[in-house]
Amino acid sequence: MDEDLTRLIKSWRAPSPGTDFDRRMLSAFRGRAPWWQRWWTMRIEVPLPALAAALVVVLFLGILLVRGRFDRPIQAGGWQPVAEPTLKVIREVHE
Amino acid sequence: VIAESDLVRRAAKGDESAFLIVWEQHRDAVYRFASWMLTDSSGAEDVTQESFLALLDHPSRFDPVAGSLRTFLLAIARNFCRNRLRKLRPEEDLDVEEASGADLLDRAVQMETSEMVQSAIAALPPLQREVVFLFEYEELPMAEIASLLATDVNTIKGRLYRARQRLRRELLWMKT
Repeated sequence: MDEDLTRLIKSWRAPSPGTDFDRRMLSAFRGRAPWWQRWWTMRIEVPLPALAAALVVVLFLGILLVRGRFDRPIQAGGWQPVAEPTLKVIREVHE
Repeated sequence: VIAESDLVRRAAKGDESAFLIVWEQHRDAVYRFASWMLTDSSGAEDVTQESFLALLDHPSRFDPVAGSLRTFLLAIARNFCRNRLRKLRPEEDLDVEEASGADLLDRAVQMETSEMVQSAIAALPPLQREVVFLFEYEELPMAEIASLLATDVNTIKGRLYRARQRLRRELLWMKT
């Protein structure tokens, strides 16, 4: 009789927890850490196509920036290069 | 082998690998206990999470000399379950049996065995319910159950006896 009862009681099974049970616990655990620690170990998920597009944009902007720097006219304190220089040879110097 | 108290201390300081060891070792027992007490899986998940967070908040309260970490976690879970039960049914006395299980039996005629047990458990007063779980599932010795529930062995024996009488009456009657 008692064995029957024990067997019946032990036939009980707890319902399965939700699929995100572990993840919820882990996120609660991580939420306890100080802000700087959370920031230091923070991770983000980025889809690969979005990452590739972002890299192309950064590369393109980088190229534009570098080209723009070299194409800019040189300005040296208001002095400009002479457009049509004429040569004049000075043979002697009179002091 | 790392001592449980070391694991708890490390986990409380933010060591994720230590926490995961503790979590994976005791998650199922705490969740099962909370499910048994609350008969509600969503509430059981919350109580399990709250119990582990409480352990991390007060790691020094765990004394390995007084009992195992599992027993300590079950004691924490028990408090959370009792709080929830009080909120759900504030008028209910935790150790007084309900008047009759007859309507329960009517509903249980077509149930599977596990569902029958679930219904019979739900009808037990919480103080009897927890004793049955700790004795039958966790197979803890009477003295450890008494320590966990902060009472004496004779009280535990009395609760267990009354719980088994009631379960016997309902479950075996349902079976026949």
